[in-house]
Amino acid sequence: MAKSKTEIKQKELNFEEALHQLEIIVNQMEAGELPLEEALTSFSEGIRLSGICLTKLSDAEKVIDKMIQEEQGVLTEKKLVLKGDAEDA
Amino acid sequence: MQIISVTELTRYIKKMFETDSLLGLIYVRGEISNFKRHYSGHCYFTLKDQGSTIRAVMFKGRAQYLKFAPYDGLKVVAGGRVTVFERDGQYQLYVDQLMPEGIGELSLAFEQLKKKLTEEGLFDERRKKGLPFFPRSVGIVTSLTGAVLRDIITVSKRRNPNIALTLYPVQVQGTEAPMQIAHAIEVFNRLRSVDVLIIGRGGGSIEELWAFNDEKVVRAIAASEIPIVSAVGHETDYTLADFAADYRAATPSQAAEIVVPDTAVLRQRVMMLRAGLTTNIRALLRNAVMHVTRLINRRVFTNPQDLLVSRQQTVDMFGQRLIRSMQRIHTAKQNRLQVLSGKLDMLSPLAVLSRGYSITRLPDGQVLQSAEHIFPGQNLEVVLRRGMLGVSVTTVEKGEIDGKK
Repeated sequence: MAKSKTEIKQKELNFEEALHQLEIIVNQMEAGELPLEEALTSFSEGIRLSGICLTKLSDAEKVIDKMIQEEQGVLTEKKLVLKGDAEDA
Repeated sequence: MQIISVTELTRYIKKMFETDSLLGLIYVRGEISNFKRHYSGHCYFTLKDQGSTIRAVMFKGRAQYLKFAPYDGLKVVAGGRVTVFERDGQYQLYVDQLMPEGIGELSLAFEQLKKKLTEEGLFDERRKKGLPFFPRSVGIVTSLTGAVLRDIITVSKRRNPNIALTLYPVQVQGTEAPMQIAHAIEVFNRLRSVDVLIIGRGGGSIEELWAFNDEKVVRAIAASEIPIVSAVGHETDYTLADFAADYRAATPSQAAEIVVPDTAVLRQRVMMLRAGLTTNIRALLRNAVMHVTRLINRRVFTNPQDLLVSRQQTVDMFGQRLIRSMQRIHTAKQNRLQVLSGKLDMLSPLAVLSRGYSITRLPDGQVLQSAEHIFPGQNLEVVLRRGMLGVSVTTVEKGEIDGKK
């Protein structure tokens, strides 16, 4: 039970969730009603979340565009090359 | 007189029909009634107008290509030949083509399928799925050739260079198209490798767009668990695929814009939020520091001796009051003492003695006031103002003394 809970907690946030939480934190801080200690905690959490967002935006992992096709139950996968690109090159 | 059989007569009549130049290919306008589609696939109905009726049959081989479903009351133009059904001796119209009159065959088919699928709830807004806010991968179902794919790729990559695109190439028109498009949607749903699907083709005539009105395609779109954005034809073209899709884009480029968020804009938004965060915490800290500083600058902290000074003053004041009070009491008591001393002086026997009187007393200290019980020779003491005499009595005179002796 407890284990699965921490697993959920540690599950990596996706961009949308991170952005959403970041917005909530900024709004809370702008309202200016947080006690100082909480504000400092929120601040570091906000910086962490914005870091997640920025990382996800500039994730430099190599993206390969694919072309898939399934015929008679056999799935083939190849690199997506626009027709005409070959001629351009 | 020549006598012939029924069959011979019927064959003769049939031959007359079939050699007639007009009846070999004829287009008849009328209204369908008693329409029945036999399980064999053949369709039987009657064509009628105000004056007459004619029986008609459309065999499966032709009927299967009908895009719309004929129904009683539909005004049609039926093309075919008229001949005789020998068994029943009935002439009838063998229909090869059936066209709704007034409206095109395709628009009728469109309306019919639209009505049917609407009733099934395939186009319900409630069924529509939201698009993912930040998809990592996008599936595309369209033709490998054509501007559509290029537009989608160009716009998607411009907005997010890291977006992963997967194309399932299909024919977007022709008899194979519906099956291929539906299959592609199913494959994507099976693989679950993409966050969202774009399905589209460029502009064209209603016939060219027809695959996107195909029931198989529309049902596949509605059944897809991956959200689908449709971009079929031009902005003014509406296909049933558009109705079933979760979102309709006017053009393929717009579909890419809807599906792929612009990372530059998002980055800017995150940076702004981050800046807001920093500004906020700085202001908060500055305020806190100011608050503390204000408190520290209060006199109690800067001049703590003030606290002592004022208290010292109080102590001094009370001390002085104490001293003054004591002095007053002292004086009063002293005065009183003097008064009492004076009084005491006056009452003192010593005062009497100082005036020349003396006190006579018995040796035991008893003071004499009378000569009674005193006898000559008795020893007495006489107390003077200064000193004391031991005397012996020589004479005794009793009685009052006038004092002036």
